[in-house]
Amino acid sequence: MAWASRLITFPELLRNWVIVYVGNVVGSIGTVILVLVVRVDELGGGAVGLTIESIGESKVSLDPLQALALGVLCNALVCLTVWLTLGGRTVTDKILAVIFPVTAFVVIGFEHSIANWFFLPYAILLDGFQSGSLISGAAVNLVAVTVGNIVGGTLLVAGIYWVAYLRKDGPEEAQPSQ
Amino acid sequence: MTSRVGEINTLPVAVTYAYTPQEAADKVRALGVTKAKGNSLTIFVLSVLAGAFIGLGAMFFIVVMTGASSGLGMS
Repeated sequence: MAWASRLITFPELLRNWVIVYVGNVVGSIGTVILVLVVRVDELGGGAVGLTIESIGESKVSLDPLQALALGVLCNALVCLTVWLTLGGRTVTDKILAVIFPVTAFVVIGFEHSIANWFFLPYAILLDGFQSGSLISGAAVNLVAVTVGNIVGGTLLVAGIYWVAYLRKDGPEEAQPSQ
Repeated sequence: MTSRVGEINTLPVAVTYAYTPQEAADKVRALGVTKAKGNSLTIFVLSVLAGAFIGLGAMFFIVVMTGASSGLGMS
């Protein structure tokens, strides 16, 4: 929305996205390594490990277009969550705002690219890099979901609210002349 | 004593109403400028934390999906 209002340049926007994406991936994979070290997958007599495998298989079996659309829907909900938290003043407000949309996207099965940077590397590492189709499927999923997430967040939330509230002849600029 | 009502009226009152959508839009735009022009190392460190939090959330999801009947935690 800052870029749409010409307050920042596209290279500045891109620099932020690249740093944040790389940082998110580092944090996600770092968490994978930690939970592997402490063997969370062995909980429930190995039942947790089976769940990870099953989640990984479901994600790589998604059609790329389906993964992209699930990514669009996911980040629409995530960005609406951020939008809701900005309406709140206290930590309580913000936590309450987060619970429902985030629970919804998880329960419905929408695809979150950074969460997938946890699920898919976790499944691949548990599998010991044995399955080539898991690795190539993971790459396809991550690309499709990342593109979908960008579209869902920028166009469906930021773009629409920018048109509604921040465009040049929008409500704020129009007010004084009323 | 007669000024008691007046005193009560001058007490600071906590603002509890939500920010309006217009205010939220203004905040997003201002935050965008801060983020785009922010220090690279700060942004990187915070994004690593964010990725880790999402990873922990995903781990929680996996454990919940597995179900408690298989005996989770230190049991």
